[in-house]
Amino acid sequence: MKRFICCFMIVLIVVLGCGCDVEDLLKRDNSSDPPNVGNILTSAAGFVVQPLDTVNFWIEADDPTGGSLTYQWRINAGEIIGSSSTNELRWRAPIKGGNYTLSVDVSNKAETVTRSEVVKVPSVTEPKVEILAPLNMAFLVQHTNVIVKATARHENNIQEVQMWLDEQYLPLTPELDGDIYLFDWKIQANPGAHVLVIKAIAQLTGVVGSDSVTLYIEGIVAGKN
Amino acid sequence: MRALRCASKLLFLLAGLMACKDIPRDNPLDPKNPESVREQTVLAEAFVNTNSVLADSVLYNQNMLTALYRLQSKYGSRMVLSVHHRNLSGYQDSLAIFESEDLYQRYIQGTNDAVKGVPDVFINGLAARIQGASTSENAEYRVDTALQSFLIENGFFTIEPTITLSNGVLRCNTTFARLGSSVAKDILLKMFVLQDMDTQWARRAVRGISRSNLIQNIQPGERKNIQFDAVSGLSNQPIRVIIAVVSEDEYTVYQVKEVRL
Repeated sequence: MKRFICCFMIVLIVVLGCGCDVEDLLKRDNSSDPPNVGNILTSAAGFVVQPLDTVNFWIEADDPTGGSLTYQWRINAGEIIGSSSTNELRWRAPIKGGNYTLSVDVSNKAETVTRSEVVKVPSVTEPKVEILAPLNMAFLVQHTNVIVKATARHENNIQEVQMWLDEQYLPLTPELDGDIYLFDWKIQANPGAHVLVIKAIAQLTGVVGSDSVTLYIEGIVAGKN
Repeated sequence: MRALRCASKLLFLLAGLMACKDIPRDNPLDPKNPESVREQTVLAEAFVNTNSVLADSVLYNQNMLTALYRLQSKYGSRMVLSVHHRNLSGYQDSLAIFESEDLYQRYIQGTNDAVKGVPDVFINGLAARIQGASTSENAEYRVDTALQSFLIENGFFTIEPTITLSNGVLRCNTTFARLGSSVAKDILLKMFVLQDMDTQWARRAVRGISRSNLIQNIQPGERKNIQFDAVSGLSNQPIRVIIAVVSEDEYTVYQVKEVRL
C-alpha cells in the first residue's frame, strides 16, 4: 500500500512538472470529424408530392469542430425555387409522375456527408403490362404446368401483379426475375378458348393496367400415371 | 479383213467398258450415290383411349383421331399413322396391348415433366408432341403445323419390306439401305402391325410391335437385311405393316414405310 501511494505521488509530480492540464490530456482532437447530419425532413407526408405542388425540405446538422457548414441540394426533376445551398430547399414537383431522388451534401472543413430520400410524385397513367408467354392464340394442354411471363412497369413502381382467367382471379404469387413476373400455373380450366389477363396495380395511386391473350386449352384424360 | 473387223469390235468393246467405268453415280435413288436421298416420311403415333363410356363424357380422343384421319388423307404415304390404345383407370380399351403401353412409358420417360394423358401424339419419336384435343379443328391445326417441319426434310434411309401372310401368320423380311454420305450408328428397325378393326374409332390400331437387334453401324450405300419374328393371332381385318428406322432409345425416327396387305 505504501508502495502504491508512492508511485501515484511520483506520477502526479511528473504531470504537474510538465505544466500540462489534466483536462487537456483527456481532450480529443476533433478537427477532422464529419458534420453531424440528421435525415431530410419535409412537410409532405411520406415524401409524396402531387404534380406541380410546392414543398419544403430541410435538414438539421451541426459541426463538431465548431465551424460553419455548407449545403448543396440536388434532385433530378421538378424545379428548385430559390437557393439550393442552405439547410432548406423549396421545390416544385414536375407534372410527370415518378419516383425522384433528392440528395443533399452537408460539408464542413473536413468531410462531406450525403443524405438522400425518394420523393414520390403520383402518376395517374396506367402501368404498362406485356404478356411475354404464352403467346396469343397459343394451345395449352389441360392439367399441365405452364409458366406465364409478363413485364409490368410504372413510374411509381408496381404494387402487385395478378393473374386472371376469364374474369376470375387466380390466387398465384409471381416470382420476380429481373423485371419479369413469372406465374407457375397448373392448368385446371375447362377445355376451350379462354382469356388470360395479367393486371398490374401501381403504387401510390392504385391505377390498374393490364394485358390479355386468348388461349386454347386442349382437353386430355389424365390418368394411370 | 476378218482380223481387222475383229480388232475393231474389240476396240469398241474396250471403249464401251472404259466408258462404263466413268459413268457418274448421280442417280438420286441409287444408294451408292453419296448425294442420294429419299422423300422424308413422317411417323405419327397416337395414344388414345376409345372406351365408349369415356366417349360419352369427353370427345378428346375422337377429336384427335378425326384430325389424324383427315391429315392422313391429305398427306397420303408421306404421313404414316399408328394408333396405340391405352387403358386408363376406370376406362378399359379393348384394343390396348402391353407393347403400346410399354412404348408410351418409354416416351414419357424421354420427355421432361410430362403429364400422362390421352390423346397424346408423338411425331417422329419425341421430335414433336401434341397432347389434348378440344376440337378436331384445333387438333388438326396443331398436328399439321408440327408435320410441316418434317415434311421438308430429306430421308437418308430407304426401306423395302417383303411381307407374307399365310394362315394368319405374318412374316416380314426387310431390306434397308443407308443413303447420303455419312455412317449411321446404333439404330434399329421397328415393325408395327396394324389392323383396321370393325369397332368405331379402331382404324390403324396397333396389334403388335417387333424390334430388330441393335445395328451398330451401316455405311453409306450399304444394304442390310432384317428378318422380324413372325406375328400370329391376327384377325381377318385388313392389315398394315409399318417399318421404321429408329435410334437405339427409339426417341428419334429416321425413316418410315407403310405396306398395306
